[in-house]
Amino acid sequence: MIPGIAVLAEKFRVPICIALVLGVWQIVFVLGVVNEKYFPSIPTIAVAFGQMLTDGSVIAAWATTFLRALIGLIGAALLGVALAIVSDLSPILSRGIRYVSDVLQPIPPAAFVPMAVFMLGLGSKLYAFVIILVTVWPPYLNGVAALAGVGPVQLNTGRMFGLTNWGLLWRVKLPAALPEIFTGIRYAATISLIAVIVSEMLAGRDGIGFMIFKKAFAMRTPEVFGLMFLVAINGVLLNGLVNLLRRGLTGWHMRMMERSE
Amino acid sequence: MTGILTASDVGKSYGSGDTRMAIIDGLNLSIAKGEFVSLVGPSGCGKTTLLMCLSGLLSPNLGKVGFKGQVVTAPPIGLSVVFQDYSRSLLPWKTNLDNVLFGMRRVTGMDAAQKKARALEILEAVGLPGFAGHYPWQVSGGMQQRVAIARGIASQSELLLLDEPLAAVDAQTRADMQDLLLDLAKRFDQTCVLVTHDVEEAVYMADRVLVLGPRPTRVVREIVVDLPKPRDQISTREAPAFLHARHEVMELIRSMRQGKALS
Amino acid sequence: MTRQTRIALWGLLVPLAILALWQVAAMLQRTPLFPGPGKVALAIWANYPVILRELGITLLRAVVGFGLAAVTMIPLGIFLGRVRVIGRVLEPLMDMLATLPPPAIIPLVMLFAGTGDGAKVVIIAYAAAVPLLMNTYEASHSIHPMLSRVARSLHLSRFETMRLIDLPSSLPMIATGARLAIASSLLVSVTSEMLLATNGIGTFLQRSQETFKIDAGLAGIAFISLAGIIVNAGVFRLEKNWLFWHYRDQRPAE
Repeated sequence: MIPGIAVLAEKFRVPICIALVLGVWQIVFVLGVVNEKYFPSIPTIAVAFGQMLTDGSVIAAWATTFLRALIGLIGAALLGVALAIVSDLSPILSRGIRYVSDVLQPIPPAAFVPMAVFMLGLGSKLYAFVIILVTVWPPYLNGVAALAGVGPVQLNTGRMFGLTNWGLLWRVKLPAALPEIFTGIRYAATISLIAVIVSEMLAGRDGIGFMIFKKAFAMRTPEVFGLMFLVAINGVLLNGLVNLLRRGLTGWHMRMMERSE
Repeated sequence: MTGILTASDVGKSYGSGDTRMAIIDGLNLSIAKGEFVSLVGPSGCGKTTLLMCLSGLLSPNLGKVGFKGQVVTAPPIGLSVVFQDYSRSLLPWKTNLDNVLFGMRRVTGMDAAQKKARALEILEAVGLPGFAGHYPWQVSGGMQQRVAIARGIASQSELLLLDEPLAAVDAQTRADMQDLLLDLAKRFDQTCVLVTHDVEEAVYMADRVLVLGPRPTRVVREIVVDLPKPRDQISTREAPAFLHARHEVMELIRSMRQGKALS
Repeated sequence: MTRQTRIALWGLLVPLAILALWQVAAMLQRTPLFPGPGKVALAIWANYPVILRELGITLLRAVVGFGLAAVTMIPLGIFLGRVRVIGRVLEPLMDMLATLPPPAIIPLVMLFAGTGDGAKVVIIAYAAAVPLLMNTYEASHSIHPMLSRVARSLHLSRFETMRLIDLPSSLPMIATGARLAIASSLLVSVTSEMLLATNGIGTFLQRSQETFKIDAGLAGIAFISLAGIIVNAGVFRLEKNWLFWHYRDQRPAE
C-alpha cells in the first residue's frame, strides 16, 4: 500500500538520506565520470578520515577551530544583547548604533582579515575582532526588535506590581524578548563558524580552515572531504550547544509553541 | 435515487485496526435541483468531513457520491465550495476582482473582457460595487465572505456547498448575509447545501433540513420547512411553522447529546 | 524639526565619535599600517576607478551565481514542499547541506573546476542555493491546507497550484531566504577571489595587503559596504512593491 510505504520512508528518512548520498557517490565513482584523483571512493575517504582521527595535529586543529567559533559566538551574543539593551534605553543611541550596523553588516568577514592582520597580528586578537564584528548583528537586530515588541499589557502588568524601569527590563522585557534573541544567536552560530573558517584560510597558520586549504593544494582529496566532514560536525555541535542553552532559558516558550500547534 | 447531488451508503473512516475511527457510516441523501437544504447535527458529528466528501475533496471509503449523474472522485465542475475560513480561502495577493476571476479560470466560452464584465456583475450582486479594486485584507470579514461567495458563483456553479459560511461573521452582518444568500441562490439558479451548527439559521434558510446523527453520522431525520419565500428576518422567525420545525430539530439534537452523555 | 529628524541627527554622533576615536588612535600610532579615516578618504579618492571596476567584476559573478541558484532552487523547493513525502524524507539531507559553511567548499571546487570564473560561479551558486532551498521548502511545506482545498475546488492542476498558489504564498519567506543568499553570495564571491586570486575586489584587497597599502584596502571595504547598503535598499524596495499584501496594515474598509 502506498501510504504504508510513505509512513515507513518518513520513519527511516535519516538512514535513507545517508544511503542515498553514499549510493549516488559510489555509483558516480564506479562509472568513472570524474577523475578518481578528485573524486575518491567512499572507502578511501573513510580510511583517510579514520587515519586523521588518530592524528594529533588534526584533532588539535579541530578543537582550535571549534573554540574560536564558540568564544567568538559568546562574545558576539553578549555584545549584541548589550547593544540592544542600550538601544532600548535611548532612542538617540539606538539610531546611532543602527547607522554603524548598516555600514558594517554588509561587509563579509573575508574583507576584514588582510587589513586587520597588520593591526592585530595572526593570534587570537584577530579572530576575536573578525568574528565579533560579523557575528554581533543578528543577536543585536533581533534583540532590538524583540525588546520593542514587548506588549503594553505585559509592561503595565509589571508597573502595576511596582517594578522600576530596571526591574521592568530585567524581569519583563528581557525574558519576553529572549526567544527572539535566541533565533538571532542561532543564526549567529552559523556565521561565527563561517567567519572562523574564512579567517583561518586567509590568515593561513592553523585551524581546520587552513588545513583544508593546505590539503587541497597537496591534492589530498580524501582528506579534504574528511576535513569538510569535521567542519560540518563543528556546526552541529555549536548548534547543539545553542539549543541546549535555549532550552534551559526559554523552555517555557518552546513548550508553549508546541502546545499551540 | 435521482437528484443533482446524491450520496448512497457513504462511509468514511480514518486509521485502521484498533485506532480506526468511523466518521460517516451508511449515509444517504439526495438533493434536487434548485433546492436549499441545510445539514445540522450535534457538534463533532462529522459535518465538515461529510461536506468534504460531497465536494470530492475527500474520497469516501464506502459508497458513492454522485453529481449530475456522474460519480464524484474529484471536485466536479459546476460545484463550488464556500469555506468558513474566508480569510484563508481568498488569495491576499489578488484584488477582490482578481480573486473572482481566479474562480473563472475553467470557464469556457467567454473572452477576458466578458469574464471581467461577468465578475463585476456578480460582485455587484453580492453587494460589493466599488470594492473590486480593493484587496481582501482591506475589507471587513463579512465583505471577504461575499467575495468568496462571488468567486463560487462565478465558476459556472450550479451547486454551492456552504461550509458554515457565516460562523465567523458578526450577528448583524449574519442576518444580512442570510438574506443575501437566499437572494443569490434564486437569482443565479443555485442549488445550495448549507452545513451549519446554528439551528435557527438552518431552518430559516432551508426548504428542507436534514438532521445528522452522532458520529459515525448519517441522516436521522428529514424535516420539510413549509414556509413561503422570500423569507423575512422578523415575520418568518415568528411563523408557527418555523417555530415548529425549530422545536423539532432542537429536541432531536438535545436528545442525541443527552444520549451521548449517558452512554 | 520633528522628533524623528532630531533623533536621526543626534544619532550621527555615534558613528562620528567612532571615526574620531579611530583618527586619534591612528595619529598616535604614526604608522602607514594603521591609517586613520582621513587617509582612507584620500585613498578612496585616489583609487575609486580601480575599486569600482573590480567591485563590478565581483558583483557580476555574485549575480550570476545567485541567479543560477534562484532559478533552480525556488522551483525545487516548491516541488519538495508540495510533494510532501519526498520533501519530508529529504529534510535531513537539506539539514546536512546547511551545516556545512559555504567557504569550506572553496578548496574542493578548486580541485574539481580550477580557479577560473566557472569555479567561482559554482561556489557562489552553492552558497546561495542552501538558504533559498531551505526557505522556499519551509514556506511551501507550511502553506495552510485551506489553500490546497481552494486550489482543488477550483480545478487547478498540480502544476497550476504550484505556480499560482504555492509560489505567491511562499514569496515572503523566499524573500527572507534571498536576503540570506545575497549576503552569502557576496561573502563567498569576495572570499573566493582572495583565495583564488585573479581579479575582483577580493583580489584587490589581497594585493593591497601584500603591497602594504592598507588605506587602499580600507577604501575597498568602504565600497563593499556601500554596495551592500544599495543592494539591501533595492531588496527592501522590491519587497515593498511585490509583497505589500504581506506587509499590509490591516484596515477594514467599513
